[in-house]
This record gives sequence, structure tokens and C-alpha cells, in this order.
Amino acid sequence: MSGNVRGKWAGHPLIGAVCRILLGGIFIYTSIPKLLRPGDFARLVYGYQILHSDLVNLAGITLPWIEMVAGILLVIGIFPRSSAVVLAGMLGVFMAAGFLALVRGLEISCGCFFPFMGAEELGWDLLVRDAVLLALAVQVVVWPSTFLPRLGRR
Amino acid sequence: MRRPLKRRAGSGDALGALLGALAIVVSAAVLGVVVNHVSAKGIPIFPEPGEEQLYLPPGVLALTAAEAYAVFEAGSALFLDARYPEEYAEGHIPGALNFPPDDFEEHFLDLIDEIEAAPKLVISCESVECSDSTQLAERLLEAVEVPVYVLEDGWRAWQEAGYPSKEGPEP
Repeated sequence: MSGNVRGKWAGHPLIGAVCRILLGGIFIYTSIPKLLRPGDFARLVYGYQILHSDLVNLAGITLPWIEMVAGILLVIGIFPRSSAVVLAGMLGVFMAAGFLALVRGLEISCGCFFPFMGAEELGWDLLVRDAVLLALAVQVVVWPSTFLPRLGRR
Repeated sequence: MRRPLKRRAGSGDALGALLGALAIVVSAAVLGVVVNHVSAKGIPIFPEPGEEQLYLPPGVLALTAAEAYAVFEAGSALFLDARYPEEYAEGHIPGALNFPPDDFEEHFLDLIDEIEAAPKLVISCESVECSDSTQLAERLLEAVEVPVYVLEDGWRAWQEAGYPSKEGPEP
């Protein structure tokens, strides 16, 4: 841990635990409806017009499980750094996809926090929310913490 | 050995974390594929040649906007609009009944006579990425004997094609 004042509070294990549980919990929560309805989630992916339609089912099947598994590992503190790297990568992809959709003027469902519940249109606020979540992930990557010390460094 | 958790990670740890991340992604993706394979609600990983590109529940058929317009012109189907009333009021297919996604039982009982008397049903929601039309189609397919179609690209494709539309809360 760095010796400066910022490092002292940002790297505090309590802050780390809050970041892990919050970030992991959000990903677990948002992955459940997608896990249950992979075909519908594939439609949401298709709406972003980035992946070829041949690949959207594969994304619909696998992405929610990656979110769920990384979220669970993060919350219970098994391989917290690796889990946070996975979720940071996903947030980066979501932000890039959202940004591209917005600059192209696509009016699509966000499919972010409440997928399939309608009225969650993609907007610039998505990027702000994802940036906040990305900050939580960065905290865990830089100062990994865990309740299970043997697995806490990866 | 128990390491101090407060220590900032080094470069060796960074490589380990990246490899761990890769392992998590691959394992979770494989898990997803396996669960999808054994699940009754699983979908094809890749669409078969000649099949619909996007997944539709078994028994539900897709119509393009042009095909739906031909059905509309022939008057051979009941159109159902699966969006919320505010969206419906902003513009909908003339004659389409509003069947919002919030309470299936309530709306089904309201519209049961019209639905059961229809030769077929054509259901739409906003656009291709919304799933309210496919969800409604799946439930109606279980509830009634009427053939069920989905307007694949939704209201937006209908509107962009310049087909008739009507504003307001009435069909």
C-alpha cells in the first residue's frame, strides 16, 4: 500500500470490502434475468448493432454467466483481483458499446440494470453509471481484499 | 503463507490476475454453454442456415414489416401492440389492440373475446431488440389455439416503411 494519505483511505480493507460486495452484488443481480432469458438478452445485444447476428446468441448465452461467476467470486473474495479485472473489462466493453450506439443515434433499450422491464432507454447516464462501477473495480484491482487471505492476491 | 492484504500488487501479481481473469471468463462461458445445452429453455448457439437469425420461442413465427402489411391489408389477423399505453398512444398500427407487458392476466381477460375470435395474431413491440412481443407471443401460444406471429422489427420498422398509423389511446 502506498504511504500517501489517499492510499491510506482508498486502500482500506473496509473500503475494499464495500467495493467488492457492491460491484459483485450489482453484477449478480443484473445477470439473473439475462441468465433466465438468453434469447431475449441476445436481442438486446443485437440492438447495439456491433456483433454480427450469428454471434449474438453466443453472447446471450455466455455474457450473463461471466457476470454471475465473476460477481460471486468477487463478493465472497475468491480471486478478487481477477474477478475485478473481468468486471472492469466488461464495463469497458459496455461503455464502448453504449458510446458507439449513442453517437450513431440508436434509440435502443439499455438492457443494463433492469433488462426486459422496458422504459430503460440507453442514454449518456449509462456511461456515468458504468464509470462509477469501473472505479469500484479499479479499487479492488489495486488493493485486493478478501475474507479468505490465501486466495486474496489473484 | 498469509500475505499482508494491504500491500499494493506487483507486476508478477498483475500477470497472475490477468491469467486468473482469463480462466474465469473461459470457465464461466463453458458453464453457460453447458447449462444452455441441458436447459429446457436453451437456445441455439448459432442460428441454423435458413432459420430465423434471432431466437423466437418454439411455435412463434416471424413476419417482416412488409409481410405484416400484407396481412394488415387482407384484414386476416388481429394486431396486438405489446408496448406501454403511453407509447401506444404516440402511434400504433390502426386497429391494433394494446396489450401492455405489465399484467398478462388482466389484459388477457379484457381482450379474450377478440383474441379467441381472431384467425391469427400479429404481435409487435417497439423494435427488433425489445422482447415484450416474443414474451407475449409465448404466453398467448400456451393460452389460446390461434396461430401467433411476431412483427420481427417492431413498430419502428412499420413506421419507417410508411405504413398506416394512428395516434391516441383508441385502436
